[in-house]
Amino acid sequence: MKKILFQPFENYSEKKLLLVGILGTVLGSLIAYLFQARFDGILDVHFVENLEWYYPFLDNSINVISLSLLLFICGKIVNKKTRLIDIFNASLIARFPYYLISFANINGYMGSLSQRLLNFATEKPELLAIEGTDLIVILIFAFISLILLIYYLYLLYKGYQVATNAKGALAIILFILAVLFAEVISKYIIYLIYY
Amino acid sequence: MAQLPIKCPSCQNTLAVSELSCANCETKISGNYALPALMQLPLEDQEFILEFVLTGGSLKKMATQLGKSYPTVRNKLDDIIEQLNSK
Repeated sequence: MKKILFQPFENYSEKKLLLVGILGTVLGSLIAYLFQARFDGILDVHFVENLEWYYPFLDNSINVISLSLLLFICGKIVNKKTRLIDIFNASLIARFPYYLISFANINGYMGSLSQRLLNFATEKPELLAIEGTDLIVILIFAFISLILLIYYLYLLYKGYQVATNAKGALAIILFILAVLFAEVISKYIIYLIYY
Repeated sequence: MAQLPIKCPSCQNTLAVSELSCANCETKISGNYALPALMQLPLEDQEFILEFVLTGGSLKKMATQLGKSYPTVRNKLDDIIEQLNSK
């Protein structure tokens, strides 16, 4: 179990990882559609009211491709033997924990809560209807989301480390830059497509 | 079988061979012979190289046999090459 949860990239062949990665991404996108979640950026999750069935699939495809390309470029700088398939598998599988955040929007609760908060923060402060239980839910949601984000980045780094034999500060700095640039690029592409 | 010591326990310098003996007739040869580079590697790495040679130098076959991913096995080989280059 430890191998599956913390060292999947060390112990499984690229074919198995690719198959599981694609199936998991399809499932993650399906769950996102069911619970009205948008992954509009490699580090973003938002709950929306209207969602076409293909939005989460397109979002996740853009996210995985952006992440793979940026990490692959950095991987090639760190180690010329880096293979695209290993980076692609890491980008697919590392995102699995993040897909679980969609479950927070059961019955559209989280979506309506965030909408109420947005109304308060912007032009309609009189519409604020946040109760004590809502605040507790927000805190729990924020905490769980943070844990899932850390787990996502941990898996991504482990995959990048195995794919590139990364050692030293340069590899870590390039990894951080790749993630940040992938966030900007994925966000920009998604914005171009939908808006 | 006991592992061959490669470092001096007192000063951590690499040990050299000063005596060889025949287990059959007990003939002993004294001298000063340097340990080959491969012998200076940890036992685990020596076994890895042996496995690598036995699989005909195929990292893919090795990965399947060891139940590891291809990049993990390739990284291990790269680390051994780095160790050998530094000797």
